[in-house]
Amino acid sequence: MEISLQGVDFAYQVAGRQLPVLYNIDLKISAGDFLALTGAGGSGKSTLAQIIAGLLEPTAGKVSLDGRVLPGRGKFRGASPWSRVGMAFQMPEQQLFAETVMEDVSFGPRNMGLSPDRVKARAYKALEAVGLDPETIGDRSPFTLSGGQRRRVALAGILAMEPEVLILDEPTAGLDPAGQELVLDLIRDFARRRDRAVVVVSHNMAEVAAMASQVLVLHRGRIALQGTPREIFRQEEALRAYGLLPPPLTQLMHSLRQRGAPVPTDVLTLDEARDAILHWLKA
Amino acid sequence: MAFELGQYVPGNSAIHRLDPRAKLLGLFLYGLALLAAPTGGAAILAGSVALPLVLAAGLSPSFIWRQLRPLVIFLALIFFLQLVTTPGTILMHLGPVPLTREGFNLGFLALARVFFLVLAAVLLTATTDPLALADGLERLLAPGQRVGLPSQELALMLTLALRFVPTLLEEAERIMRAQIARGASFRGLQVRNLLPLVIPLFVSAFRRAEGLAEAMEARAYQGGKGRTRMRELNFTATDFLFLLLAGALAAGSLYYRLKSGN
Repeated sequence: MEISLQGVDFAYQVAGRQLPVLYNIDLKISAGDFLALTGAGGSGKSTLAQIIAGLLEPTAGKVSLDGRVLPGRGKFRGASPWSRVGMAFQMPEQQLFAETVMEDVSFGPRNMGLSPDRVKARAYKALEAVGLDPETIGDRSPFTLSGGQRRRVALAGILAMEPEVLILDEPTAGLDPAGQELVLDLIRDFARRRDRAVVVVSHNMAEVAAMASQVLVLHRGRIALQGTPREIFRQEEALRAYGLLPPPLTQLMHSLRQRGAPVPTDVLTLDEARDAILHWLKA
Repeated sequence: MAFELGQYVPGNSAIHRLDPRAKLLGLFLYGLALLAAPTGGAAILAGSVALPLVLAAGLSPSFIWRQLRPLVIFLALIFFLQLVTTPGTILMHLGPVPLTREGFNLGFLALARVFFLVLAAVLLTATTDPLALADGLERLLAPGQRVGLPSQELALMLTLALRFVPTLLEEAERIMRAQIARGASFRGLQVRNLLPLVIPLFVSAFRRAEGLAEAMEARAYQGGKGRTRMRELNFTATDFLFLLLAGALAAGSLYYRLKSGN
């Protein structure tokens, strides 16, 4: 499926006043895409993510799914075209509410009107997908789990709806390194199928570099840069101007180059960097 | 979701600059004047002195309307109850219920009282920073300390409650959107539908409260005596004049009531 935004503006209403956040955003997300939204704090990336997910309605401009202009999710009751788009908010574990993990993960599929059997099957599958054993953990209260486990239960609750587009806002924030790796793995797993798309909001450039195929940099509510990770990270000066830093590896290559080493600056992985440095040292 | 009752509208009008204590006492005296007014006409006369103040505070009619709109049904109910329950000279019948002249008069009076009282309360909260309001209340209640009234704690509780209203509303909206993303519907008002909103909201409110208590203790907060404040309240001649006028209004209304012998 395809989500497209055309000329989208957005402003929050605060005490009867307009607080503009986004200006004239055009973008398109198609099956197979892995888009990273990044930008300094307050650049509007979380707001944009919620517009893509149909949770906020733009003040101007159009949002369409598969070419059909749609109103926001709030306008639908029960099954809606939006249920093909899943969204995990920042700290999604804060939305857990049910008495058991199983109940919580079943909430989404049940709201989609699936039969109890299918709801259960999906909840099992989703819990397994996030690396939790439904048999041992399904009957526990979500409030007794660790932070990382709660995060994964919350993500399972979204995966259980089997969305085609998954939108995640800072999915690894506040987790320990092992927890972060687990969450990144499950996002990569989700993205493996070609009929799916992922949008990740993040200001962790190393994370973005490791996963995304497209990067969009927001600056004060406008699209400032757009391109592949390599294209974006090459522009260190611009990134700094927008309040961001390239990933550590890219910074290393930039410094080497400044000191006169003829190495490329658009490397993304540790292996690439090692090869480039070895190549330079041998030459 | 728009929660607007009691919303503060920052500004720098003469009304905004009045001392919160003067405004609180003024509201009290104004309420007294409304209660003392013996007839609907008198209540409207006394009540309408608030209208120029609303204008002077720079509040738009649409803002006032949005604030009062939720109360329309309540006001209609007050009028209606007075109308159908007061005995006296029968004017007409509404089905089997006789409507009396006295009923109309009393209904009118109650309507005018409540309407103007709410209007003045809206004026107070719209023109006074909630923190200043809590501050003013603390100072007004301070004499009560001698008889064991924990005025400082009361004011702190009020300040904290007011401080967290917008935070919790924002949180509620965020949780609501997150659950809508999972296909939840918040249209019906059954308790079952509200659980996905209410439980996470409570969990987060408790967590916030705990965090705040720890942060206050970590900075060695102790209420009570000897605390100084960043914004000193300053009672000026204008505040006295304002109170004098409010007092005159209340006195006039009381006098009129005694003279008319009700």
